Amino acid sequence: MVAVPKLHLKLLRDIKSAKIQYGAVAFIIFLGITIFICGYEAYLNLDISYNSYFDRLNMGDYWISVDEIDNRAVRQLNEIPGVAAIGRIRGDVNVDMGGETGEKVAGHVISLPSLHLPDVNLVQIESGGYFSPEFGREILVENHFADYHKIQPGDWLTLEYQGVKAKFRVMGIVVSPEYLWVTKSAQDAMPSPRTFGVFFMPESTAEQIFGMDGKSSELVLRVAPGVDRGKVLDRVKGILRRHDIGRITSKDDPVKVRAREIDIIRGVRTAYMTARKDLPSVQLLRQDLEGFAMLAFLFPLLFLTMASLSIYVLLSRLVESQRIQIGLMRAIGYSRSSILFHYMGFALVVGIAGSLTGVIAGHLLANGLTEMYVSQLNIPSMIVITHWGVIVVGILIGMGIPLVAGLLPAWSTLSIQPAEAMRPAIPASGNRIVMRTLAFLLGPFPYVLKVPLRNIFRNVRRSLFMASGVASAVILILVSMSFVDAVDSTFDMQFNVVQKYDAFVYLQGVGAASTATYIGNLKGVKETEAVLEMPYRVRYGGNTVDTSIAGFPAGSSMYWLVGEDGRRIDVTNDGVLIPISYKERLGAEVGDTVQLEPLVGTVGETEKKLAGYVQTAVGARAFMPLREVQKLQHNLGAATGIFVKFDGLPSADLLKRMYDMPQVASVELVSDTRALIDEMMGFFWVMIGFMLMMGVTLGVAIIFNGVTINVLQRTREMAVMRAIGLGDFALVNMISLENFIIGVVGVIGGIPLGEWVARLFMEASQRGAEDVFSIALTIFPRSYIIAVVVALVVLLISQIPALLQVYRQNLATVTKEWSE
Amino acid sequence: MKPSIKLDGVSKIYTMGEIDVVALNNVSFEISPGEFLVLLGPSGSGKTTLLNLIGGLDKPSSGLIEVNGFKVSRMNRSQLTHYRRTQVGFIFQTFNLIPTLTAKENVEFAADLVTNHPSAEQLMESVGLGHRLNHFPSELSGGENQRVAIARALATDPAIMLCDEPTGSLDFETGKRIFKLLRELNKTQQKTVVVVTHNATVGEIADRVLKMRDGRIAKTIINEHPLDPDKLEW
Repeated sequence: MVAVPKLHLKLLRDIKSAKIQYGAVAFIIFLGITIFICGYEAYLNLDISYNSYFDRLNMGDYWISVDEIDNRAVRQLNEIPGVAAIGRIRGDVNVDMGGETGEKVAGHVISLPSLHLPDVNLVQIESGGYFSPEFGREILVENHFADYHKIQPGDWLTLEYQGVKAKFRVMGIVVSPEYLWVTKSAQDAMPSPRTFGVFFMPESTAEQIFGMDGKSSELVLRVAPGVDRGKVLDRVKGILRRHDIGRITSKDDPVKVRAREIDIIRGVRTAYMTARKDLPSVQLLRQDLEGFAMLAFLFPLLFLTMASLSIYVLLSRLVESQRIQIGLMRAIGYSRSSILFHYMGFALVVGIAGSLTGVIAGHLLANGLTEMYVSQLNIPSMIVITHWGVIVVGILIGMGIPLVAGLLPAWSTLSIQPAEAMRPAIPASGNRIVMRTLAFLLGPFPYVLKVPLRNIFRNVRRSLFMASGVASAVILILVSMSFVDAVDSTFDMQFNVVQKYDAFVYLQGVGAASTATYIGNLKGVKETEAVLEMPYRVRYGGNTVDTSIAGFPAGSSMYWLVGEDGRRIDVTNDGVLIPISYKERLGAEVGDTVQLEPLVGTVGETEKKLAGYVQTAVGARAFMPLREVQKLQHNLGAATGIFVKFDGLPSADLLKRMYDMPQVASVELVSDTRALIDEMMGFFWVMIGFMLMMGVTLGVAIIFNGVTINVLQRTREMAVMRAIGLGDFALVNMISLENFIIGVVGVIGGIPLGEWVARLFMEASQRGAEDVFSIALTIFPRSYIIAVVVALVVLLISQIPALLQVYRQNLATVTKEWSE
Repeated sequence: MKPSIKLDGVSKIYTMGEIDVVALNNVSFEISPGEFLVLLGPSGSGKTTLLNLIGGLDKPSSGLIEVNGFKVSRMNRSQLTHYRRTQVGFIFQTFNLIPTLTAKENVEFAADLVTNHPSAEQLMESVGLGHRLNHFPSELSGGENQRVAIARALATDPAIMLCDEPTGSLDFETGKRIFKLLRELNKTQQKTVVVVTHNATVGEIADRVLKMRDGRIAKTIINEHPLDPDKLEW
């Protein structure tokens, strides 16, 4: 049998004798490493899953939209080495869902080769099959829409284009890499599948319907890895020029309106190129993923910071309590380095225990989290692998942080002189001036009050540690609750304050504002207002944002805008109102003049004063009075949509009459949008619940440790108090009062810190998605109360085990020996 | 005979805030190999300080300390560690056993530091505790704890045993037994034993007593016929 060095045995036995405290710290490390491994592995799995799926389906790298281009261009593009290209037709149709209401929804059609899957941007057939060669009136339906409307292969759908209806047979249900997250545009990132769907039809059919015989309206390119993209794009431009497309613009290389006007005069046609990374659906997926990575980094950082603080205090306490043993070890000949490593060993054991278990738990959870996320977003393929690099990093961090935290207390053993160490330590008395001042101030008070207040200042480090434990619990609870409050508040504002309409009617293209009057006269409709929305670029100096400008009547009763200060703000003839989420990007202040450039066409360029910033929860857009937008478009009486308020619930007949109007493309009920958001938020609430649970657990572990140290460090003192006659009840009150006061200090520090951390998390989680949604930091009073009450209750409950230990002590023994 | 321990002009001054405390003031004496010496004096006389300096637990402010050829007063830290490991065995008033190790393990704790040491069982037998090997300090009486401490001190086979109030925490009878044990070690194993005490009676069992006062040696008493520890009365 191998003899275990007694120093190691001492280490293990010492840990065992305070296993709950060391266990608590190991648990904090376990939580931090678990979250890190789980979050980061899930992030990597999802990233790999997306990319693998995109690669498997040969997703394009560039999309080039044109009015039309001969399909010869596609053949020429394919001749560029390293490039695979397809041409396709895109168009918007209405889909008559039939049924009682004759509901019409907006449909976006994309053409696919009639006989085989395309070479680029394949679709994955989930059920049914591809087009048959015999019958041209066939479509494939994108999965989200099919799922919502319970559409199966073999069903028939009626598509309507320019007043002409035709039935199409559903051949298959498909998933497209472009529509893992179905978006209409950046401003309309969450269309309800009830009112918007994506369909694929044979090329020959699309050519017929949209009058594009032998032509395409979109080119999609895929560039092989390692190929020089700059050179490829130059050749692409050359080919397009040969087909009379003289200019390619993109998000990063915009064309000014004036230049566009000149192009039109000269007959220069323009194409618009979008890189994969700029597709709204890809942006949203990427932003979601980055949010994951951010949480996988920030949360563990918080946990491991608290763990390192706990280790530092625990080891400091250990070294302090084992001064005599350290002196003895030095006396009998143990070297300073062996003593240093001995005490570092405590940190190492805790680190190993926490990190190894955390890595295992995190890895198992990562697989589950990946699966949950994939299922939530209907991502068709999932790749789950073991990321050994992440695991190794997790272990190193989990071991490294305690070692670093334990270094300082362990290092302090080097300076302990043996002779001095073996003299019992003089109990800390605190700073002389502070203690004398306290003695003076607290003079009139009873000892049950004086003693706790003095004790707080006797060992400031100990008091601060406990306070930091309470503060960390408050921070974590506040951060978790802030997400709940922010979402609640934002959607409450959006659907109860801002959006006062019951439905939004999308018109076919740019229609007539008079349609609002017509709809307003229908039985069951209380009120209507016309809306004109056009895509615009807002420019201030060198900064631009691409968005849209929505015009509705001043004093609208259907759409209330909320300014930066939380008060109602109305559209004004003098200027434009811009979403607050663009403030940082644009850099403009209220009163500055901004340039407004139409993104389509050449009409409507102007300058306007920035009249104010508004809060927009979903879909950021700028706002002006309807009349002003109509003037810009040189089209008084134009509208692209109608706000509708019903008299109670809309009848089926009313909805049918609205759908039957030829100028109506689709009707989106606000109740549907809310239902969709609620469904999407399901996953979010699970994550918040998890965060809250983690936060409370961390808080409990830290507070418990701090309180235990606070009580057990003074066992002899408390035993002496009991010996001289202080009752148990009075002793408990004294200790509780001391702990409570420290807890209050922790709460006072924790609240502003919690607000700051919450702001940090909120900003980080929305970075890059300001076009899509914007949630303002909100913390309701109830959250402060919950955080404070939970932290203080945990504090008071945490002292019970330590107090019980003191209660059960043999007074004779404890008063004879020095405190541990 | 060459002295085992030699002190020459040794002083120790502690600075406590703005005050200098002279714990030892120009002390010089020698201890022969195998001598049983008692340092006697009231609290604050400097006897424990003197013991600590001999044991290399502290360094003198001035003067020379030489033990078995080791110039203790001039050693650096690692040299002092080696010195304590090989030359000195300590016994303290409050035993200072590691509470989480058993009696046998406490002895092995010291034995781990050297090669060629007697077994812990043998040492425990030699102090009469062969039957208490696997008990923790909290399960032993005060006298038993001190005997374990003695066994631990013997684990490295030191030439010198330094005992600081070894019976201060024990009752009279147990204290007598401890002194008897120390005297036996002195006689049978030729260990130089230095005992610090404030109890004048204890001096009767020593070969020589140095009475200390205010950091100096006030008086030296030589016992031609040291008393048998069994006959101690206080």
